[in-house]
Amino acid sequence: MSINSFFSRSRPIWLRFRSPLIGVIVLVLVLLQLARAGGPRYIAGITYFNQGTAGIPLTWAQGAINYYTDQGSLSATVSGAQGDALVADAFSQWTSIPTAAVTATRAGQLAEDVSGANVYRNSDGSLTMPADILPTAVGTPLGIVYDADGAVTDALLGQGAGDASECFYNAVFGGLDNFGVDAHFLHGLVVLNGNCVVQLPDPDVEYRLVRVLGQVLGLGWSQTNLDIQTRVPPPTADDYVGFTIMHAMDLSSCVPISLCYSNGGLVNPYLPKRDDQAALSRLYPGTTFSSSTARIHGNVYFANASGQPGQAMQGVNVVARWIDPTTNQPSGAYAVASVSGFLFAGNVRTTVTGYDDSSGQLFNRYGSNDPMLEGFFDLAGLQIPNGSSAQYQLTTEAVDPVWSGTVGPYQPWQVLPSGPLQTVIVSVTLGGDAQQDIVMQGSAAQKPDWFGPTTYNVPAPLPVAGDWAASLGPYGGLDYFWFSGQANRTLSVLVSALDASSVPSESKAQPVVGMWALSDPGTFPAPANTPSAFNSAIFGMTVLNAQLLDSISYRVGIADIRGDGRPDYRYHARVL
Amino acid sequence: MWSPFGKFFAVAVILLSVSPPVLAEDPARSEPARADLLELPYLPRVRPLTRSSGYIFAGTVKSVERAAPKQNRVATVVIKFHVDQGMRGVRTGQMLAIREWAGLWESGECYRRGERVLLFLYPPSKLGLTSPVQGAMGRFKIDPGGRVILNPGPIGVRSRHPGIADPFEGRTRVSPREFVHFLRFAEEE
Repeated sequence: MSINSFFSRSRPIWLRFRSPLIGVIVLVLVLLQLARAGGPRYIAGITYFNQGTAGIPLTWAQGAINYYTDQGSLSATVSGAQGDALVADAFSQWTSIPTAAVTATRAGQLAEDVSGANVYRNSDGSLTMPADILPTAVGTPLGIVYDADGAVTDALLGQGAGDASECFYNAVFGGLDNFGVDAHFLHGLVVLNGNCVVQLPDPDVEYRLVRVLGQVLGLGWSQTNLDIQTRVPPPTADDYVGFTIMHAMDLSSCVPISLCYSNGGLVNPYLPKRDDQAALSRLYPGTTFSSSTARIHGNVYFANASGQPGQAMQGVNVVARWIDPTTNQPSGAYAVASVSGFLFAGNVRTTVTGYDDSSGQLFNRYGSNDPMLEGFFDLAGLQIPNGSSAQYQLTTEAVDPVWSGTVGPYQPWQVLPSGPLQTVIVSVTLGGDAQQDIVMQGSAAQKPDWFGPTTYNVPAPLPVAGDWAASLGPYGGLDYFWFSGQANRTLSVLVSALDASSVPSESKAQPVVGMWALSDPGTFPAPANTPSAFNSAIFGMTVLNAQLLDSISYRVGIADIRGDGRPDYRYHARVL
Repeated sequence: MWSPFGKFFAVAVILLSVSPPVLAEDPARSEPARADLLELPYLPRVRPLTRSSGYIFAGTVKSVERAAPKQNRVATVVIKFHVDQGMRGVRTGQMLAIREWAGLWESGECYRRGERVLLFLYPPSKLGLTSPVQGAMGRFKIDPGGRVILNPGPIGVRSRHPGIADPFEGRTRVSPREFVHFLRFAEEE
């Protein structure tokens, strides 16, 4: 559906748009991706999945994956049997984690050698692949394709994608493609590009395969020891030991990958680290998981005016580091992270831009709507070396928008935490479970807006001066205003996102603006809206321009595009 | 337009991903890593972003449609762009429809109506499918003014090595054409 057709279908007669081409002048700055929770990659939401599953991370039923491998060779120089051994070894990096109860079984072969010959285009333009690797092939839950000559990679990603020069990105790709309504995975597909596998062992290919298999198991990206990538501060040897394999991205200069992550050959880049071990064990807890590790869990909160816990704060990376008693310093090796609110929906959208994505699926199919989970973090799986008790340091940090843009529930729009970052020391014992809430002292305090709460049906009158400041909170809070418009007038609604210091920011709210006739009983998305935030050339500003055709009353809605609301989501609005 | 920077470009690109200058060491973090002993811990390597591309353009997403596949057929997504600035394979002002394998969208690749991007796309395959070259690395955000937003980290366009010229002189937003010229120059070098 093009913008033109969108507006031609939904534009009411009372409103048309100033732009000679498309009506509303909407210039888009920020890309939008489907937001998913961090830690676990997929969290069941309140639609699509069965009632009662909201907030549950998606997993393979009974922790058991049956995979089927290609009948052909892995590459021109590596046989299918060798490929099977590579896949088994890569899986074993995960399945050998002693505290996780997950198995991966090669249940057989696919029915064919998947190649360029059986991935083709039909005369009617439809595309065919072997039936046993399609998302609907739940009888072969995980298909492993050996793309011996890169032809399948070429076919699916584009001509040349399977070339050996593209191996850094396309050596291994795929993932999960069918989810059951009971919050279990039903199918996945992994393609290994044979042009990237000249001989085995190949640590780079295995590194990439282990990462893809981590995703297939249901893990999302994580952020621990980011200094390995940013080099700030200079990383220690322990930091390499604890650097999560499920970090979000690699530098293209990391060739071979060991150059960046092995610390001179001391660390196996494709070995899941303690953060990875804990994350997998939380998804698939083994019988000894609770007793052989420690857990810290809690919530991150804004501080209210009296310094007590206020609204929960989502999107804060909480890192637990074992304190080495011999040095009294936090360890880089024993480091585990959890993003607050990882079980909570990070992007459900609003009345302004509508509730479904470009493919027609509701955004709220991922993540819980339980407010008790908005700031929840879970650091189960903490290991205690040499003893039964220890101290762990908890620190809060921002999810880095550059290096970890796809980590956590706010992806891809990370939100800067409010208030100074916190450090807490927590004593833990083997088998113990410590609750430790974190109140971000000095964070933005919720202040009631001067116009009071508004709803779609009860909007506040637009300020006469057309200039005001407010905040989008609490969660799900939209601000609605109404005004009487005159025909043939143009109108601009300018909204600047502000941080807690009232400085324009693109790291807090992502404001979008919608407009309806006041008599409209509820058309979502708004007939006139900004499809994305920050569509103007001015930093932090979203602008909706419209021309009014009738002298009637109108409603203006201002929202965070995710449907989020927090005390630090402040804005300055003007109507011109 | 590149002459003022001259050969510095090649050097800057070679150091695209070089770490920032080493900071004063925290005494609490006294055990150095082996890699820290190297002045340049990462081998330089520039990926052939432009050379692998069949389409290079700055465009605006006009529509996104997930085509419901017939039984036993492959699901795809059709994305239509208005080409705001065509640099390879497309003309400025034309409408371009590309088709992506829907499996990519489960991996995070997706577009939204109204989004503006600079794309380096593989030539369409025999199936008519394409995707950004090097995944996320072949896709750049464009601001409302039509400029590419430079991401100084993983994309590594801005040199972060002391003494090496920053090819964009500290700018964080450049025109798509300037950006593509820069990449081409770097790859030719």
